[in-house]
Amino acid sequence: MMIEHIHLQGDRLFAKVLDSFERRLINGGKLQPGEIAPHRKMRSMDYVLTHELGRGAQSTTASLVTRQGWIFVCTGIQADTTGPYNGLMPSIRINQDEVLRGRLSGGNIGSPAMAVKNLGWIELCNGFGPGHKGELTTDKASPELSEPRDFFRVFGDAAQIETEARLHPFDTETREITIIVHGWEILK
Amino acid sequence: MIQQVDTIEKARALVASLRQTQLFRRRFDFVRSFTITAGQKGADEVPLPSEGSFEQLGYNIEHTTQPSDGSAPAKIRFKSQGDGQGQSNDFLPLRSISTPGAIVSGAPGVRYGYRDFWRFYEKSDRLTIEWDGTALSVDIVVQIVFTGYLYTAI
Repeated sequence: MMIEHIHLQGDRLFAKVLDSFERRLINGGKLQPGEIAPHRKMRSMDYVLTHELGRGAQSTTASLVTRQGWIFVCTGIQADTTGPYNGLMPSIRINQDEVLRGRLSGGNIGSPAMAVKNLGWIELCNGFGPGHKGELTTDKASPELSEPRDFFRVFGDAAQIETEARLHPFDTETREITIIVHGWEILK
Repeated sequence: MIQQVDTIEKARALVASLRQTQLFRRRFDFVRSFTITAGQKGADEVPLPSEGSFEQLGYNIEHTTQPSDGSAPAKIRFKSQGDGQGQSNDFLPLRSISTPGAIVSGAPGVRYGYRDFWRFYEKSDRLTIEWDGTALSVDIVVQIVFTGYLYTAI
């Protein structure tokens, strides 16, 4: 999210967000387009989903519910896994909350493009590619590093974020996979 | 906005008015460090700038090396009084948001760099960093550069 203008008045910070989509989002959140939002109404946020694999499970599903009363604007995701880099990296995918579609449509800020079911399976290279923001890679030089991958999606008030993770079929390691969902929260 | 005044008294009054109504904004970085103890969970209160409110644009983290055996990393999360105790981010794996390397010795690892994370801390706010080192076999020192704007009286 781009901040067009920001200023402090008394002890309160006001931010005006840019981009027509976000203005529609704010409008859906009961603010008028272009209206400045006090800082108490927006902030960065990271949600984390964790998967444990190899302990009797080849694949798992994890989910969380975003904070009630807030819209969550996801701007990027990144992932990390324990265990060695052995070329047999697990895969993850994010599922769209079916309820979200109705909520967003109800808020008049949805679009057909947002009803996409999921990302499809993406293999981790201990993240989504060291130093290659926005693209997948098999770079083996720095397997401990995972950078966020651009991923824009809007989750409504108390929406469910669901992720799935699965081991590579030939991988015998026990792995704990952490998925960070990075973005902004805007108070409704 | 430019205001014109025609007397020195009016100019003084204008300056006095500005002092009462305006704040000075300047770029501001500050550094804080703490130790994550192996095998334990804990929290450290991070002193915020005392001069005024701080608008955090993001941070850059560096830490001493931890065993690169693929084990679970240390995790941290930020909690501020202004946001309320239930309003923080989740626990983040340190190596996913920082530069693995050495503050004390050795060459730094691959640089992760600056990470966007926008928060506003009022002057009286208190920031606590919770950490989880239960998976660590050695203590690590974490150093965080907070970057943003500081708002102070003129």
